[in-house]
Amino acid sequence: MVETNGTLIKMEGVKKVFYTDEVETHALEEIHLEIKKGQYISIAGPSGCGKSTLLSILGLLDSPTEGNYWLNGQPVAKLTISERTRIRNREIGFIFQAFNLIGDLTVYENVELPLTYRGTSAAERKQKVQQALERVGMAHRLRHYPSQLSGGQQQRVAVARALVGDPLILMADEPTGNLDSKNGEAVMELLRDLHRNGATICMVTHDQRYANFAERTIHLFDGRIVEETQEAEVGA
Amino acid sequence: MHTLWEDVHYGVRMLAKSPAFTVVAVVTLALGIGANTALFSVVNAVLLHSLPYRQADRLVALAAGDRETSDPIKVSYGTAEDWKARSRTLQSIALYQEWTPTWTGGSAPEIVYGMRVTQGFFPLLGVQPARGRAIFPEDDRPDRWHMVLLSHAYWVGRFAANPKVIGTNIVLDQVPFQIVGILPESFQPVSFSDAGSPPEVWAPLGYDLSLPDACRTCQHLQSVARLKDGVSVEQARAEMNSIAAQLAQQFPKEYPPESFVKVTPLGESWYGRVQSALWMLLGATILVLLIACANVASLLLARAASKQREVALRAALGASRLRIVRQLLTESALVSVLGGLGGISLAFWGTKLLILWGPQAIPRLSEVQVDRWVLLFTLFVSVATGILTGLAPALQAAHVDQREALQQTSRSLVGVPHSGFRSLLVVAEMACAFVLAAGSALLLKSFVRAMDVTPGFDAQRLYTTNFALIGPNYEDPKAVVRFEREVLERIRALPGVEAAGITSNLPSGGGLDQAGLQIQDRPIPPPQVPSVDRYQVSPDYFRAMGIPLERGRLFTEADAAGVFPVAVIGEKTAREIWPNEDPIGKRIQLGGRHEDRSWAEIVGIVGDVHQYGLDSSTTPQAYLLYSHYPFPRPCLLIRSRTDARTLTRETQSQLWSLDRTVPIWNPAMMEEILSTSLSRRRFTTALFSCFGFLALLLAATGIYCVMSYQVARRTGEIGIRMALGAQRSDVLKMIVDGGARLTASGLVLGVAGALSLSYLLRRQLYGISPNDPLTFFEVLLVVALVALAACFIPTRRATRVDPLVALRYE
Repeated sequence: MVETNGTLIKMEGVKKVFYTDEVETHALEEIHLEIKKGQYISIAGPSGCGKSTLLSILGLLDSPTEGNYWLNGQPVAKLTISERTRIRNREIGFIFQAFNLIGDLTVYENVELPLTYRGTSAAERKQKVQQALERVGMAHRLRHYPSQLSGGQQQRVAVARALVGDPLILMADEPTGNLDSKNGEAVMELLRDLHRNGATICMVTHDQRYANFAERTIHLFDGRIVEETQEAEVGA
Repeated sequence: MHTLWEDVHYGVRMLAKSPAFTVVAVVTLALGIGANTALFSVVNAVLLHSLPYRQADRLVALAAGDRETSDPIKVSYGTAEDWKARSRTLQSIALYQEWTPTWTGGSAPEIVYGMRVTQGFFPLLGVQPARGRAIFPEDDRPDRWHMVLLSHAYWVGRFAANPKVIGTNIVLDQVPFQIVGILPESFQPVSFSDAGSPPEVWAPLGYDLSLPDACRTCQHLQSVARLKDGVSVEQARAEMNSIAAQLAQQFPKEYPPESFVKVTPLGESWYGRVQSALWMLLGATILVLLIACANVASLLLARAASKQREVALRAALGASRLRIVRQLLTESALVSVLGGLGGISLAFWGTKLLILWGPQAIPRLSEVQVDRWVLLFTLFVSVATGILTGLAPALQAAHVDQREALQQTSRSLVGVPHSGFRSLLVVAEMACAFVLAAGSALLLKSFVRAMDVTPGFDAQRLYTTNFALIGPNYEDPKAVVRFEREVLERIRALPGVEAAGITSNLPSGGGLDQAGLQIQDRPIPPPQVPSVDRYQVSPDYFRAMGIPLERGRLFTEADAAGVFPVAVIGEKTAREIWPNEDPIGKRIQLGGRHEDRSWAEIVGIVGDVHQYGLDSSTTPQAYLLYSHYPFPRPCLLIRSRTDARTLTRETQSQLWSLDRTVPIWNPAMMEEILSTSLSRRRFTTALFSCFGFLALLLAATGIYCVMSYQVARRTGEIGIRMALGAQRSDVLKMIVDGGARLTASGLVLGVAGALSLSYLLRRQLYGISPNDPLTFFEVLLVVALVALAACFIPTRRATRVDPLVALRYE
């Protein structure tokens, strides 16, 4: 563990190459990135530029081919699958474009899932799930199944699931991609509120309107960071 | 019709597109249908085809029983005459007994398998000679019975189908018998004879009441009767039992007070022992077929689930629900038809194996074939299978929510929707598999226990063969004894021979020779005289057989040469008849009590032998010396280090050097005879175990398919769970939990099913309770382990899900 000086994520020279038969695909090249605690960062770029690959590596769903990656001062580029899983469970909250709620589980059980894998006691789980659902305004739908909710409500539940374990950072992959504009706006407002309350958020989007919600935007093109913009004021 | 053809065409294309599914489904059904068809062909030939006689359902077997003989098979001539004189429900009664005369017309003397029957036997069955004449009443007398009818096969084989043999003589037991007729080729004696070969010659019984063997207590004949029209078996049984009671009152010295008549439909009397085993085996194959159906239904359900979008699209384009159901049913019908065709091929092959390996104890097994009734049965099974397996998946697919199915690409939920029906199928499969596996285990244990039974003698290196001393040279019993003594001396002198003896009745050889045991100082009224297995043996018999002496002494050559008869008895005889006394020194007679004849003194007690097979309990036994009670058709026993073929050659050489007319038959090693005594049990056990194994294999395949399908469908869910922090062990637990729940439910149902069906097995078991808790526990473990193994590959696949790939897949 090294001194972080408020840096939550640091990447140096990260490269990701996919090998398929005889073809090498360079998805990411020389990524140097630093994210401070409490920042709201968006990763933007055209389709196929490497946004989701970068988010996967940031979220420890994948590992870089080359380069270094520190999460909260801890080097995480070469961890085993099991160690990565443990850190993912404790330090990272995921919000997916397709919500990815489990159809067989109730809203409560879906949100409870990360705490179950952490071994949290039932009483504590209950309290945290309740709090997380209250934060996203879904506490009244505890016993519903996802299929009984609208798309916007499902994404709110997904956000609650990401929040429930008090992660260091929220990773959102096109969180509005499956929503209409009204529900999309609502989810973005929810993320902004969370950020205002101190959450660190890293969001992938190809929609400039939503990228503008972040205080800092990284533009990717062909696997490289080509531009970085800072917003003076969060929100457009 | 055109649309049906389109459905068939489309179904064939779809099956061709999924060869793995098609092969698994067709092979699964083929195994189920094949096992069913093969077993049905046996049941059809043995149990369902009526016996090949006129109005066979009117034929019954009669036997005289009492308290001592609760399951009788025999009757005496005198008793049958009593019945004939009194019965109003029976149209006619015929008697018969096996007869094995010697034919000496060829280069070597030969045993001929024959039957002696009363004059009414063939008319009662509705059989007329194909050539010549029948047996007339005047032929069936003690002084006139030397005439025979030939079986068609014997006439063709021995006399080249020469019609001129009628009227000529055939010499049997050195007595000329006139050939008076040839029986029709269509006549099948089925189980009238237990000799192992169909009778070749048929002679009149030749009894009348003046003969000593015709006495009321001389029960050595078998009886078949025809019911009068309109009389039921129950009515005949009631009347015959009433007659038995009257006879017991009228002749108390000859009939015990508890006398009864066993009246059984003829087929049942022959097949009673095998019919429960065959129905049980057919039941086992039905369970196997049900498991196969459940497997295929499960596969079709999975296939239907993956076709939801296609079905929704078809519905959106205007296809009616009925049309969709029909299209999907066509696919399952194609699978079942292919399975049926595969099943028939397996059945052809299976029936050949069954005929080849089936024991002789199953009558008419050689008639088993895949005939039109069997094919009709298979067609019915295939159609039923097609509907059974295809209906639920077709209905499920036809009721799909079109809007939801068509929007699946953008779905936001992961995981497999609950399919209670599919889970139910797996539970049912596991339950059926447990029932069959438990049955197999119980039968296997029974078989092993029967094999472990010590026969009461040492069967290793023990050779046996029969010979017969017939003709005028042996009318003097002393000549018989002289010959047998000389033969034994010569055999003992052969190199490698350790001991040799003779007996009138070979243990486990299928022979039955029971006699009443009379005690000199304890006269017992005739009906209550205890019955024992009687053996007339040479002094060295016990050493040759390896029967241990328990107390007293064995026979000696001095006993055999002496004039005072001596006896040796079995332990059970000693225990049951002299429970509080020492039997040694007591004097006995076997058969009727004759104060004017000499009594045999008991000199020793030997271990009991299993006379009626390893899986039958021991019986009271008594031995007399061959020299005091000569027996002209003995069984020779040789303990030797020499191989069977050499012994057969040398025995034949020694016997024929003394008399070239002596027939020799049934050479065998004792171990083979013991093994044959378990052949029916071995057959049932082997078949049931095959079905049990097949059921377990199919059930394991079923649970494997369901688990694989669930893992495939849950890949996205597993990915999400892993992204959220689930370790591999969490995923493993989740998948195994699912499989374990299904297995546990199946096993609970299976145990309940096995307990409730165990009574069906009771008759087939030996030395083990049908509810043996240890066996149930062992089978439970095995089935659970098999299910766990079946879950292993899908579970391993689940734990190797890469969350990133899974999320992309979603």
